[in-house]
Amino acid sequence: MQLSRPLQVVGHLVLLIICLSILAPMLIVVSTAIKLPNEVYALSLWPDVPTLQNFAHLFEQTAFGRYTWNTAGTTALRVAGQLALGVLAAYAFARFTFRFRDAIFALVIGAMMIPQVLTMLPNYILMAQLGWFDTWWALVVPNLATPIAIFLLRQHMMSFPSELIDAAQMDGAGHWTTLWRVIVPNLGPALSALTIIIFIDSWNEYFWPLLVTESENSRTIQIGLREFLQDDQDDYGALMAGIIFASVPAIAVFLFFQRRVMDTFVSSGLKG
Amino acid sequence: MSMLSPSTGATLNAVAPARRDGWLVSRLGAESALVPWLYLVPTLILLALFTYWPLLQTAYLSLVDWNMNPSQPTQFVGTENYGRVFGSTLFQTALLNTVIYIGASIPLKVLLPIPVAVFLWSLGTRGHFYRAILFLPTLISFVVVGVAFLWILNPIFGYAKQFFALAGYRLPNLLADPDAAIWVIIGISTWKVLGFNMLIYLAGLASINREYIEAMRMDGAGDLTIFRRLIWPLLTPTLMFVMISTIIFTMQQVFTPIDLMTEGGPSNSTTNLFYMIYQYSFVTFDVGGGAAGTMMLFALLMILALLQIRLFDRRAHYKQ
Amino acid sequence: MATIAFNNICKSFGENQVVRDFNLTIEDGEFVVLVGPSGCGKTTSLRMLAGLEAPTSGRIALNNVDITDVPSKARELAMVFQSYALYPHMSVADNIGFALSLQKRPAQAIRAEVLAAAKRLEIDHLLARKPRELSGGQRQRVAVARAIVRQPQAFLFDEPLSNLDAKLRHSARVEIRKLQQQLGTTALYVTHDQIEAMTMADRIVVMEGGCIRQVGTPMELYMHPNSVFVASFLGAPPTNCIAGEVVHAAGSVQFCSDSLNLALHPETPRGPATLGIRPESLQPGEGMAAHLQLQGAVRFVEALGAETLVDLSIARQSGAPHQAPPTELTARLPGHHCLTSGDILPFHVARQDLRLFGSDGNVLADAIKTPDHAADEQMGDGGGLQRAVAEYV
Repeated sequence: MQLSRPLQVVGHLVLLIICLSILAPMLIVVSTAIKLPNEVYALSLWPDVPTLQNFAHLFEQTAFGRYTWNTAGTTALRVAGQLALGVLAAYAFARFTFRFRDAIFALVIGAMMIPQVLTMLPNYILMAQLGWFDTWWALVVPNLATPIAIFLLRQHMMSFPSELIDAAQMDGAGHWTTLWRVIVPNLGPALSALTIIIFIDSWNEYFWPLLVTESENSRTIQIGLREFLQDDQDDYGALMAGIIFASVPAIAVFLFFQRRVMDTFVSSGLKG
Repeated sequence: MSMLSPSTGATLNAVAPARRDGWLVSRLGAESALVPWLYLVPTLILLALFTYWPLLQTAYLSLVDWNMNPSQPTQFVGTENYGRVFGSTLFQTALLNTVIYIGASIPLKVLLPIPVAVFLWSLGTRGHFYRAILFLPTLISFVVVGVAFLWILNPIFGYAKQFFALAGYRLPNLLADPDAAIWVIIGISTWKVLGFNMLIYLAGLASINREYIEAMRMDGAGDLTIFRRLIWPLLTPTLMFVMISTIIFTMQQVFTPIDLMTEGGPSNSTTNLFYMIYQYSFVTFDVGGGAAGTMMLFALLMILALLQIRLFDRRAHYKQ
Repeated sequence: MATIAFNNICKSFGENQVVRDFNLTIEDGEFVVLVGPSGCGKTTSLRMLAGLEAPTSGRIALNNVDITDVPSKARELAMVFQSYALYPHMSVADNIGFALSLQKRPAQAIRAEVLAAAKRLEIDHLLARKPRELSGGQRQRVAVARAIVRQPQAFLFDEPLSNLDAKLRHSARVEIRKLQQQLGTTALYVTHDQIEAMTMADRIVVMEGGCIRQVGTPMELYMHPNSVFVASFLGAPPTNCIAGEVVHAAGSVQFCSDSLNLALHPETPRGPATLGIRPESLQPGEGMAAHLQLQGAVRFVEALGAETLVDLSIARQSGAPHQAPPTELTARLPGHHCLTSGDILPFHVARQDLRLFGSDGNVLADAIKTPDHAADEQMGDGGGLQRAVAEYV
């Protein structure tokens, strides 16, 4: 579609301003992170003596290594678990007709619209009762059911060519084999999109880990940053190094899957 | 618990029920009516346990007095918690702020992205560069954003301060100003989700057949007419989705910047219902108060969502 | 290596009954083709045999064993799908060997069998490719290789050639048939293309509206269709159908239409009827007195080289109502003929080439056989065409 000329100029201008406002804070963060303490408060964006000292400081001062391990570990478990359970549930909704199917599907999708705040108190108490407090269990298990994954995967499974499923059946595959050896290998774009969504969600999660982690046992990077902020208000160089460190994995995963995800996300639509 | 055991345990939990399904399925034969349930069981149990049951439990907890100490008995107090929370100034401030947060979110996060998304869509593949930048804030955590802006807005050395000083303007300490702090939070959360909502609109736009637009152009329609008569109606379902999710999740989204940057202050000027519930529940361990606040929030969200569905249902134009 | 029996199979999707009382026995090594227009229930019948649909009622037996409730994967049948249904993420070799790998055969054995099947279909050089890197014809071969590698009890084909272009379709037809004969495996083949049915089948099953219309060898069906439907479905161009009525008058029984009268066997029941004439049965020239004689005006000529299709219109009889449209017939003449629109040609049809169908569409087999005309069946008519052309062109 071709817009008229004045609208195009205005559009590009607005977008450029928005993009600048997105990039400027990031630039400031990066520049602060590579400054020596004596330069941190200077306005210049490029330091006279760029340094990685702040990153070293970050790992000396805090248990960031351990936090990274907790975050990466629980995130990996969540991605694997949420995708696996999502695939299973989506298959049930896409391939079977059974009693109450539509009602149950509505309940599953409805869970998407229930914010965490409404369930946090009983869940917190439950974690304490289960003895999961301050363990990876608490970070992983309550998050394993993923309505958005079920919804998106169901959409993709329903548009999967039915002759392929018939062929698998004729070749001797049952539901289980058909699902994992025929359908799932062809869900690449949807699975990558979900991997990013779940990864980002888990890596960046704040509220729940804030409640259920309290020591190096399970504390994640995000909560570690908060702690660092409160303990060491003024070490802005190391803080900025910390937030860069906390952001790189999500951005890297995104770049890794980027092409496929953007296309799935924008063309098939997260919400169908 | 040791470092390894929780992780292996979680792995088993994620995969084991699935594997058992497979074994059962092959034993039961393909057509057993039980089969779909086996695929659903893990998800249903988890949703029941961690989403739906807690909703009910919250309703119960709102009627008791308890300080979360397992050795302390819970005491049934009826609707007393509701009265207490409802009457508190904290609740009233939080409610008012919630209305401000939501009210400001609609033009900033729901409406502003529409024209930008439409423009981006009109660029086709040439818009991919913008799209990548717009997506960046989605990838970054709210903690990162909050910490970064704390630094930028640092009242003494922050970039903002120094930048405005260059222009000869003395920037006040915004986060310490009860009138301004809430707008800082709103601004930051807009910065964070604007790009994401724009992408959702882009997804909605992607389903519009561009031939319609060419046909309208041939009929002599201008940009505005095309937008009003074609794009807007086809975008209404997406708009409704964005609106509902923004209303429901705005509170959750601003929790992190509130907690990191202001802790609700100064003088409760940035707190919202979510933060208030958090304080009741996990700062003062007043479980009954927290649960009562949760139930009132739940009611408010329901009313807003229903209102909206009613409002939109009358003029929602569904795709093709 | 198998016999197949459908017994009283019915299938409904909700209110919609798509297969009604389907009975068919397929002998070991037989190649049976289910043919009919789309929606006639042929594919559903095939899918019920495959185990992909469950019959609403009735039983299916394989080698005299009831398999109605046996899941598809345990039936040992192989199917070639219309879209070929090759797994897009697997190489050709993995596609062909998938069923074997599910049987937990050793990898070495699988590789050997896959290679043998691929060689047989001359696709062994493609084994490493993905389906999307293959042409339509190659995909079709992979699908067939996937079916034969398992040495199934029977092959099921669901319109496997409909995605090929006309030229490939011809060679694929021959190859599938040859392959099936070499392997001696029972095959059930579904198509809507009557040419495929005629050229490939040992026996054809013609279906319409969920029911079997007729079962028989291609020639039986072609020569002795039991209904208007079968007569017009098989053969291209289709059988000419002339609507008329069987009239009993003054001691004679006749078929009367707007354009012709034909004496019938005296026991033919009265009522509306349809006379069927194959295009190639219309012989040019004036035949014997016992032949059905027609005068046709040439309307349109399609010269195909080896043969010529002529659209004719037969003039109304004097007694016919004036608004009645002229009867249109197609004749198929061997060789090339210089005819132009408007030419008037005499035609005749031997009695044994005529088929009369009653008001229900079913054949009235005895109507044509009048004892006194039996002798006509010996009379050939080699010179008629030359005569006709000499006279009129």
